[in-house]
Amino acid sequence: MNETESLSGQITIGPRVMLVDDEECIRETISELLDSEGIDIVTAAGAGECLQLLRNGFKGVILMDVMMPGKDGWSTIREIEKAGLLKGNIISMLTALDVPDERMEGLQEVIIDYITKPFEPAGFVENVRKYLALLDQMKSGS
Amino acid sequence: MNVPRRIIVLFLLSAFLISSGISLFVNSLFQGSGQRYLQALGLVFVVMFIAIAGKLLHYQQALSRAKQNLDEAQRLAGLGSWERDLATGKGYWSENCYRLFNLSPHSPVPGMEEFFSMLHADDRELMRETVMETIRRSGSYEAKYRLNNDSGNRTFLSRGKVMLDGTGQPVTLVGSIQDITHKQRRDQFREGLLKQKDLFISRLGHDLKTPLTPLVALLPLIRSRIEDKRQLELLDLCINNVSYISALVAKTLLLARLATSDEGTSHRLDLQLSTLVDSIISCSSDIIGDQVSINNSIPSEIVVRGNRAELEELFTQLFGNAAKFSPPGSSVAVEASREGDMVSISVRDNGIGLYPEELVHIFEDFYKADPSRHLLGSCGLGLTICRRIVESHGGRISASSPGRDCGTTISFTLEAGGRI
Repeated sequence: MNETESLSGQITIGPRVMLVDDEECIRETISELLDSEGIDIVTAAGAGECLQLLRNGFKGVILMDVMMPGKDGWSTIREIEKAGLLKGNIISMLTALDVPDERMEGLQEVIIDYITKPFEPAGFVENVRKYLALLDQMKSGS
Repeated sequence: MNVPRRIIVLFLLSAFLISSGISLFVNSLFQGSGQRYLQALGLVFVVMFIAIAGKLLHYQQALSRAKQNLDEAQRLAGLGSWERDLATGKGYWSENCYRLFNLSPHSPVPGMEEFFSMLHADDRELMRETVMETIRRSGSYEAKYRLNNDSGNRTFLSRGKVMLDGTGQPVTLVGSIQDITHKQRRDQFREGLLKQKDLFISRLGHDLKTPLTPLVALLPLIRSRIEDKRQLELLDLCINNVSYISALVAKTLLLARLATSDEGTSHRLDLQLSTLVDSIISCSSDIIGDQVSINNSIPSEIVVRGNRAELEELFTQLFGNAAKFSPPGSSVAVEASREGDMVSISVRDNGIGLYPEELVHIFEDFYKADPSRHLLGSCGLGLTICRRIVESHGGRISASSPGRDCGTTISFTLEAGGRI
């Protein structure tokens, strides 16, 4: 559980990991996997839900699917950036593509990793823990 | 080409008239002198003239045939040849040049400016600059252009070269043009198909990998919550098969991408091979395991030129294979040496080895020594991927083995890089 400051200035406690993926089976899988490791997670089925969660004060690790109908992962990140909601978050892309997407160019400072599906569960959880540790470092540094 | 009848008739008539003339001239000089040998000399001149003229006719015929063949060949190939004297500006165009430009072969060769005015407005200035620059530096060029008001909207490939005289002074600009419209359309069509194929692979990859994700991620989690021995056995069976399908999907997609992508050629760097191999060994512990050790003996000065991601894939596949088929406690030797412009690399294991008949097939798609056996963890694509990567880097790959249970050596070459 973490402390996040909502737009209204309230300090709230909530999940520190957000998964944005249009596939319900992936949302279920990752939720179950992280829950079993004691990591709180919130899920969004697309760009709209993701932005809403960020507006509601979410700050943490965003696991962003690349290929989504409507706004894909890259467009969603641009939207987040445009809305000024990027600060205090780190993003790792989640994709079934086996090569880094060329659209990643210019977003290297925002995106810290690129996880390919299907992933090995132990390695995936380890990565999420690393992102959370990095987030804590960033928080204590700022 | 046959010599026209009128030329033969003219030739025979000329020969007759000249010989008659010479005979009359000689007779008028020496009439009554009895020196008939002079008349004979005249006759010899006539015979010689006929022989020389016959030979000339023969050469003219051969030349005419060659010209016709060349013209026909140019017509078939959609080619035209041309030449322009740089001092006078006068030029020569082959017959097919005229045809390609929709001009009559009897019309005069267009001057330089007239030629440029016949080009499409969008290509004209670039072509003019290219030709002028080529003349200035006495070099050569290759450029594409279209014609003005061309109903076929054809594209031509033009090549030109400045020819120098014995003193190194530019004399003529010679060159060719080729109608590449069909080739260009075929290339565009092919590019479109390749893009479609890439898109298909990408979508197929997404659609196969997405449903695999819950299986790969959740089955081990479910396993950790089960205690019944038989259930665990059954679940392990599922997990192993899911791993196999997952590896098969990943390798098939990689292979498909290697077959169409030009990514490999566009991201090539000079890489210190020893460091690259060390980093692959340290990152592949899950593939190599701890039963087999990999000994990297590559000298530090060896540098290869290649795509890092693809070379990492190549060595990972080779180390994984070597580890899979080697007995516990054995070692795999990695060696390399510079051979001219290439670097020769070998990966030698002490594993199960190969029969001679297997050596030629192991780089084929889906090859397995025993096709009826369904070996989990071996889909028969690993070495095919290796071959594709090596060949796309301009190298060659081969396997050697003294026989069954005597180990295998995979040898391959890669382009040598510069000093780092």
